[in-house]
Amino acid sequence: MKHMRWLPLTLAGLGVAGCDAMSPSDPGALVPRTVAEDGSLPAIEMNGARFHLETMGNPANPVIVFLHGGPGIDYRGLLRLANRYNGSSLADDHFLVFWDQRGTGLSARVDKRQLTIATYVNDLNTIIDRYSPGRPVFLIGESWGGMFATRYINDFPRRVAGAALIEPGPLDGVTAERIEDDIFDLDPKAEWLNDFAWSSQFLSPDDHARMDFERMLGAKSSQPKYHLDRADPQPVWRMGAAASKYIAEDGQDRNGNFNYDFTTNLSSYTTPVLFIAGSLSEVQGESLQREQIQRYPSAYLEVVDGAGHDVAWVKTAEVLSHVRPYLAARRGGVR
Amino acid sequence: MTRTSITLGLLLTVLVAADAAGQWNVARFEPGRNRVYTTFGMDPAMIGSVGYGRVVELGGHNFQLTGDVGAVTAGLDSRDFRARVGTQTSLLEWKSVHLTGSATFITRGTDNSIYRGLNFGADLTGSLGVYRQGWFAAGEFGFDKAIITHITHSDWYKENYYPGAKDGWYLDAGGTYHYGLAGGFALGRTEIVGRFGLLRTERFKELATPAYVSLGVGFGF
Repeated sequence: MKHMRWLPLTLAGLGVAGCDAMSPSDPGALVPRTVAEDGSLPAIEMNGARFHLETMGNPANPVIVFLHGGPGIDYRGLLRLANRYNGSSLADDHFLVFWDQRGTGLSARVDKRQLTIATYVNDLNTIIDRYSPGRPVFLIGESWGGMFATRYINDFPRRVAGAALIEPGPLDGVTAERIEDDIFDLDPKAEWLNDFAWSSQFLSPDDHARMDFERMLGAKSSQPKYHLDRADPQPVWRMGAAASKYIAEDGQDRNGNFNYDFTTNLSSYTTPVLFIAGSLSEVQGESLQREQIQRYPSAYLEVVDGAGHDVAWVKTAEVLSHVRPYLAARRGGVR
Repeated sequence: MTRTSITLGLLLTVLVAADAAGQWNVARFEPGRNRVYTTFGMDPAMIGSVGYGRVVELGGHNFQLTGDVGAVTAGLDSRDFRARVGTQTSLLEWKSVHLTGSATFITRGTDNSIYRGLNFGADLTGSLGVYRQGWFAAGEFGFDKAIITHITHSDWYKENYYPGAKDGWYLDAGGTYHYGLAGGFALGRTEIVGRFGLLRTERFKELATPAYVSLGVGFGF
């Protein structure tokens, strides 16, 4: 029995650990607290939910509303667009509105019935009413944010003075179906995929915090064709797993095939639209965007060298060198 | 079969905890029989394992006690590992029909881009089917519970995403139901078994890997 002396010690150790253990659902344990859990975060209430939102600049200036990617990511990865480069910032002559879309980032988690594209469009309408009443706004959207901007322009062309779309995702379901297999590396031998599967035995996705945390497992290497910068990764606060899932499903038919079309009324939007792509990006890069600019009556594409899909984060100054003259040329129509 | 022996079998199965992957043919359990085996499959990641089992008689039941170790095979990643100690026995039998139970104590490790984890858990699995000397086929249902898990968030996650992530022990962090079919046949002293089925979380939500499938080969001596 001398050999078994370690057993009670081990059990006692586990018992002590158990007494001091946390729950994965504890706010702030695995992923950051949302505005529902941390009153110090900048937030607004609208349409029955609480949103993480911050503004910069003079409210009298033309308004830029930023639309982040995902669906399900947040605006943290767009914040460099507000920084000062070459002596100027977009906030010098614009009023910037950054917000985490419903159920994402540090915005409050919501019931899945609220996670629809129509609800998102309504939220954007409310933000524009609030910060730019009676004046059209500029939209800057990245990835899903570029799709969201297009959907909004399609519905409310008169409310948008111009748009810069950074590597927007597919603007219709046919295109989405075509590129779907290139978005994630689904090779059964892929290490990230096995890590993802193996992790489910440690933290099964049974609540929001665990679902959101699990999503982070793919952040580093699940999308090799996007050529994301690993040394300086575009950050997020929280991957909104529920928002990602249900917004995507809202664009699908019962069989899971994408059937949305955000371009049905784009012919009425004659304002030039700026598209930006990273030269390294394979899936939503130059090739796709050369197709997608054709969906707008007047759109043009700028390609930034040496960047992947995260071009707005890793080549911010170069992106702004295209955005600034674009905005300047259209600002007169907003005042 | 007496009520006492049934109760004893159930108790031992629960207390010793069983081998989800080790659904071997209980009709071939004979006291003193040894087995070395290997399994490979998607369960829930691509994993291969090797193990040893020995059948002992206790309270009128033949229990196969097993121990195995396995590692996720993608990139031969030994940081994603599993070690299990368990037992399997026939709880009830009528002619060739057996109700079997297995219980396994499991230690798992993982090291991925956002955290390093060490987990202690247990799996309880029951199966009902026909078990004959040359083959068996059964339906199985089990629950694998992550009882306590230690998480150390990676520097990459803390530096780039969430500096406030809390390292330490987490209770009740996960659980997985598995249900499906198991079957096998014997060729001399070699036994080949297979399992496949579906995986769900403890709240019956879908998992990234919604199904499991594994093959095992055992050699008795």
